[in-house]
Amino acid sequence: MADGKDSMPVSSDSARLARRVVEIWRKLIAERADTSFHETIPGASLFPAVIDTVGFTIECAEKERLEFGLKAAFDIEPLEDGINHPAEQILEEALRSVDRSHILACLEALSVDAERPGFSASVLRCLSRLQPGTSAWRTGIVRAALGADDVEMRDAAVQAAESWGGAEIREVLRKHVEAVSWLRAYVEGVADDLEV
Amino acid sequence: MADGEISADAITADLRTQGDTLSFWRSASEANGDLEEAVLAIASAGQRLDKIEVVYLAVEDLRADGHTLKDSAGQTPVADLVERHVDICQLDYVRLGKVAQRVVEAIRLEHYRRLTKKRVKELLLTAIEQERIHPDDLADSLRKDLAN
Repeated sequence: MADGKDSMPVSSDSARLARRVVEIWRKLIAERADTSFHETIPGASLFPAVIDTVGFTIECAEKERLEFGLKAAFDIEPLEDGINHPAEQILEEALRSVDRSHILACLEALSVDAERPGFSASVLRCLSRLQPGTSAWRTGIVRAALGADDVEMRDAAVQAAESWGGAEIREVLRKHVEAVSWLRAYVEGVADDLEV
Repeated sequence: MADGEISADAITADLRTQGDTLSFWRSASEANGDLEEAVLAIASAGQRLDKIEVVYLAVEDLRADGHTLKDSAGQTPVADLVERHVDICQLDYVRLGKVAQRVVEAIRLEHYRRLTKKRVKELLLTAIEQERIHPDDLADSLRKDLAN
């Protein structure tokens, strides 16, 4: 191996390097929506014992592509009340997908993810600008997000309830016990608004 | 975050400056009616109908912090509110931090209002009825939301 500028960086942590290869590979799969691509990537032969391709399907690729797109959109510009956002178009396109039930499952997972409350709250607030799924599906999302530990997620749930409306969602709000005073006022205000 | 800490995201998302300036609207008092005039100025300039929250700060506190306040024509279709706009200018890292501290204090003292989407809609429709706003001056998407 040559010295200096032509030498390759060597990592002493092969497991970390392998994880990085998997991340890049999965991103490429998501961009191409083609799992057969994995057969040609050189990384697979470098780390045959480490790279896990089992279970990574086209559906996983779609979810990751949707997630990458939304995250990039929110990183560029935060979602702001009163202002349209490019992430709405990403969601609209996803909802026009042929496999709606799978997309709805992806959106449910992205919008009620306790590990990433800030991102989930943005996804849910953006989703609330559309009318995705059925009334029952929307009610389920609001109920799940209202049960989150994170106040930002619960706030996003109430905002979704406010946009989507309906008697079932109103009942979910009425039954919710909110500890944070400003959010409790919002819950009550929206529930009252939905009475009319 | 611990008490007293202010998240960096809150600064970059909610206190975004432009030209080292933050945009505010004057309110005659803390009374709901006066604060709702500021809400009207902001909401009518938006692209869509949403809930809105406003925090109010005392002008004397901002002056005590050494801020430069400059009246300027506001971007709102409500003609009689255009002159209510004021900029906090010449912001830098330290001065923006002081504004953030005042906002945190205001929230602690409950010097804020959150208006539901329904209330914002009522304000806008009333202003249209009173001919304070011409519907053609609203964004198409906002006009559509008001019609629904």
